[in-house]
This record gives sequence, structure tokens and C-alpha cells, in this order.
Amino acid sequence: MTEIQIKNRKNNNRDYIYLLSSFLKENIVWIVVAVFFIIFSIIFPTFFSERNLLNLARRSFVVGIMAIGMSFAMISGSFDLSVGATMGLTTVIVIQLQPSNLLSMVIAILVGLSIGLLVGLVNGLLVGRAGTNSVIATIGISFVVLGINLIYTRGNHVWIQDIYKGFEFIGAGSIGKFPFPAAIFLFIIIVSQFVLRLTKFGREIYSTGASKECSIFSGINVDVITLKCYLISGFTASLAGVVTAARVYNVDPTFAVGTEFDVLTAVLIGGVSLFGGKGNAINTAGGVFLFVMINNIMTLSGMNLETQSMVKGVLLVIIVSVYSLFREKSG
Amino acid sequence: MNKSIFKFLNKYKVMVILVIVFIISSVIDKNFLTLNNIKNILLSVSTDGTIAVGMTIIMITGGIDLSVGAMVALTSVVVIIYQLKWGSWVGVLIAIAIGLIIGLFNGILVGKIKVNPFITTLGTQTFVFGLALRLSGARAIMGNDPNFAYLASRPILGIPFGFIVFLIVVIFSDFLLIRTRFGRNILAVGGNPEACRLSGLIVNWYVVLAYVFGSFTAVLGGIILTSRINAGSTNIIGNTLINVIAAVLLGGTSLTGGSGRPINTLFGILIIGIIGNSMNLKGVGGFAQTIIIGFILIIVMLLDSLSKKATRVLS
Repeated sequence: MTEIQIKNRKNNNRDYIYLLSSFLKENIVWIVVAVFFIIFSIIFPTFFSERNLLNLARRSFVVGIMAIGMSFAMISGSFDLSVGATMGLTTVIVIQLQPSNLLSMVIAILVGLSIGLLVGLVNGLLVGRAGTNSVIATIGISFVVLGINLIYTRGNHVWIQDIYKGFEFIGAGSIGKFPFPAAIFLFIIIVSQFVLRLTKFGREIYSTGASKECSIFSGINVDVITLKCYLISGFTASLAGVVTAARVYNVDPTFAVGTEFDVLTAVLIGGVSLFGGKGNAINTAGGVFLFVMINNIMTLSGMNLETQSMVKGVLLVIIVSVYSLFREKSG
Repeated sequence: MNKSIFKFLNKYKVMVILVIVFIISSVIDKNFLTLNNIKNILLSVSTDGTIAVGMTIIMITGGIDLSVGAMVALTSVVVIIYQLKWGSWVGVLIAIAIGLIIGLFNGILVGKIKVNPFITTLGTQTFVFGLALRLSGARAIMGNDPNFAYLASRPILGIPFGFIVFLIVVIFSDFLLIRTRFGRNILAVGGNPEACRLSGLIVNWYVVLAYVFGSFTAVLGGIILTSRINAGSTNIIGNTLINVIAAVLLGGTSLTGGSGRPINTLFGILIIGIIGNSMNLKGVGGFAQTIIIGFILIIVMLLDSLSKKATRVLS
């Protein structure tokens, strides 16, 4: 009996170590964020200033909220590369609707958000129902959306002539010192984490991403799950567009081209698998912070935009290579 | 009887579509069927067409290369910069060397390390485009060699030289793919890599070679375009990537790999070229053309996945 007890205790010890190590492994992105944060704060004195940190929180919103939406799509096993174009079109249309009073603001926001849902619907039907390759289909859609954007604006700058105070608050306001966009981001992280982890819909997303065949056989309507994930992704893209409109209210129609690349990098840093079925909203947020921090450091150290773009490309390739090597090792 | 017609149409669908598009274009605009305009189309498809041949080989191995557009930009910048320094031939050779290195990089990542090809080449694309922007300083640089500027459009037996290069690439790779052991191995690797590995083929290296060839054709296409425009700029790429993918898919190469022929890609790019040309003749603006080419890509993909479903039902 004593032997069994000792054995049990040993097992328990091992369980704790196992639990701890798996906990660390799952949240490795946050550990990396912490390490980088400390290193950057020591090396760059300007990094750890209140102004820069608040700016960081504000900057992380646009990439962040789109990253959460894209996480849904990628956990369910499909890519969404149309988010940059969707965000661009939304921003442009919200600005052109000239939110100068409460009513026109509400209309502009509703129209803006419905654009994202519309693009998501088309993507979802193409990839879910028709079964086309998600990368190519969403690239095609992004060209269509960009073309609509350019025709609508005739390629010209657009700006808000007389901005409504309430609308300005969405982009530039703050609660105390905490920027309002960051508060929206935080809210979306919490809701998404809840939906992904604790609801039937969330579990069905993971199941669809992990194995389509198995999910079909266990009675999950895979097409509908894919469609819903694209709707979420489109919605968050247009939400990011609305906030961008409220923050800068003066944009070039092609300003969002290539944003999807930043979002994808952030999502992958956050540990969402390329093959679906893995990842969660909180870790994606960690990926976003890491990505925005690296961007911020590149800007602070005076790198020009072209070099930054090169570094980002290399970063993405390194991340996916490391993940692929790990995946091979673990079988 | 009905079934055999369906089979015939399915097998030669790209040629059927080409003939239909050709007839419609000749009817709606009387300027379409002039010798000059046909020459113009041939020259304008040679860049995207050459690249599409390389893409066909890559897609046969089951991969894709999203970095071709950026490669064209880099080629144009590198060729013109070194042309101004040391002459056209040096510029062309340096561009080809850079292309081969980037192709090797892509190939090793996808073939040996087994990284997802979409994401690898998306990363390479950002890197290459950033490099091109940096080298050019985001400006357009004019070339100074009139011989080089005339290279692509110089007629040989009435056909522009750029198109002849494209044709040579098509015939060479089609011959390689269908008639040689090497080509059959590439087809087999795309169809079932596991079986190939078990029967002793070095699967990884076929994939690496496909990417190297893909980058080489991208540089070749870039050189043709640079010669036509005679300027080094990152803005010249336009819709290259989406045109190329649409042409390859129109040619019947499937995204899952294992089947396809460069000669069908030739017909695919001609369809795209003719549609673009008639839009130009009718005065459709560039922005609207972007939308239309996006729609074409989506429709082609829909047809591809529908026909796959249909064959699954038939078999």
C-alpha cells in the first residue's frame, strides 16, 4: 500500500511538472513578449516612455482586431487574405459618407460593417460551399474589392470635412489614459476567447480545422462553420476600417494594401497553426503585441520602410520554418 | 454519344474557350482583327505567359509561387541599374543570378524543410519587393540602351522576339514534361509524393528544381517587360500574379498537383490577353479591369472545383 502511495505521489509530481511545462509551451508567445519587452526597455530608453507605450496600444488595435478575426478563419483551416482590401474599402466608404452628426455616423458605421459581412459571405460561400482553394479565392476577392474601392474613389484621396465629436472619440478618444480603440480590442479578445473555448460553436471550429472528414462524419456542418468564420473575419476587418476612418479621417484609397500580410504574420507568431485546429484569441493577441513591438523598435531605430518590409518578410519565413521543423519533430 | 461530347469538351475546354473569346472579340470591335493588334497581343502576353509556364511546373508539383510579381519588379530594377553601370548583358546576367538564388531559397524551404508554399512565397514576396523598392529608391529609372529597349519588340519573321522567347520556353518545358523521364518524374511527384519516395525518387529535389525553374521564368518574363518599358520601377508589375494564376488554372492545371501541360497554359494566357485587349479597345478603365480579372480568377476556380466534384461523381 505504501508503495502505491509513493508511486501515486511520484505520478502527481510528474503531473505538476507536465502541467507546468505544457502551460508554458502553450503560452510561450507571452513569455517571448515579456522577454522582448524587458530587452527593448533596457536598450531603447524611448521605448519605455508613457507616450510610446500608449502609442503602441493604439497602433496594435488595427492589426490586432483583424488578427482575432483571421484567427477564427485559420483555426477552422482556411486563409483569409482579403482582409486588407476589405478594411480599405470600409474606411473609404465610411469617410465618403461624411459622419458629421449622430445619424450620419450611425449610418456610416452600419454601412461600413455590412461591407465586411458581405465580403465574408462571398468568401465563405466560395471556400465553404464551392470548395475552392482559400488562398487563391480570397486573393481574387481582394482584387475585386480593391477595384471597387478605386472606382468609387477614382483613385483620389478622401477625407472627412466636418467630423462628429462622437465619431472622433472612436478613433482618438481615451477612457482615463487608456485609448478607446484598445478597449474595443480588449473586449473582442475576451469575447473571442470565450466563444472559442467555452461554446459549442468554438469547439466545432477547432474540430473543422483539425480534420474536415472527421467533423463531417460526426455531423458538423463544415460549410456553415467555414462561412461563419469568414463572416467573423470580414466583420473584424471592417470594424478595423471604421476605427481607422475615425482615427485618421484622411486616407489614400490604396493605404491598406498589404495589411493582410502584417495580420497573417501576427496570427502565426501567436501560434495559430497553418493547418488549422490550433491557437486561441489570447495567444493571437500576444502575437500582435510582439509584432507591433518589433515594428515599433524598427521605427525607433530609424529604419526606412523598405528595409522594414524586408525584415518582416524574413521574419514570416523564419516563423513558418521553425513551426514546420517543430511539427516534423513531434511527428 | 452525349458522354463522349462532354469528354471531348472537357479535355479541350481551354481551346474551346479561346475560340469563343476570339470570335466574340472580333465581332465586338473591328480593330481587333488587325495584324498590328494581334502582334500587340502576342507581345503583351509574353511576360505573364513566360512566368505562367514556370508556375505550371510548380503547381504540377503541388506548390505555388506567390513571389513572381515581386520578382518581376526586382528584375526590372536590377537590370536597369546595372545597365547604367556596366551594360545590358551584365544587368541581365545579374538579374538571372538573383532569380536563381531566390528560387533555390524558396525551393529548399518548401521542398526540404516542408514549409507551406503559400506562406513561404508570401514571405519571399514581401522581402523581394522591399529589396526592389530599396534598390530603386521607389523611383522609376530610365534605361539608356536603345538595343535593349528594342529587344522584346524586334520582329523576327513578323513575330515579336518576346513572344518567340515565350514560345521557346513553352515548347522546351512541354517537351521536357511529356517526353522525358525527368518530366514524368515531376508529374509523378505532384500526383503522389509518398509513392514516389517509396519507389526511390528523390522527391525533395524535384520540388526544389521546380521552384528554381519558376524563378528563372519569372526573371525572363521580367526582362521582356523591362525591355518593352525601358525603365526600372516597382510599379510595372500590375496584375502579374493574378493573371498568371488565372492562366494556369484556365489551362487545366489543378491546384492539388499531378496534372497539367505548359502548352495549355499558353492557351490560358492567350484568353487572358485577348480579354484584356478587347477591354482596352473598348476603353474600359484600369480599375474596372482589376475587378474583371479578379472575377475571371474566381470563376475559373469555381469551374475547377465544380469539375472536380463532377468527375468524382462520375467515377
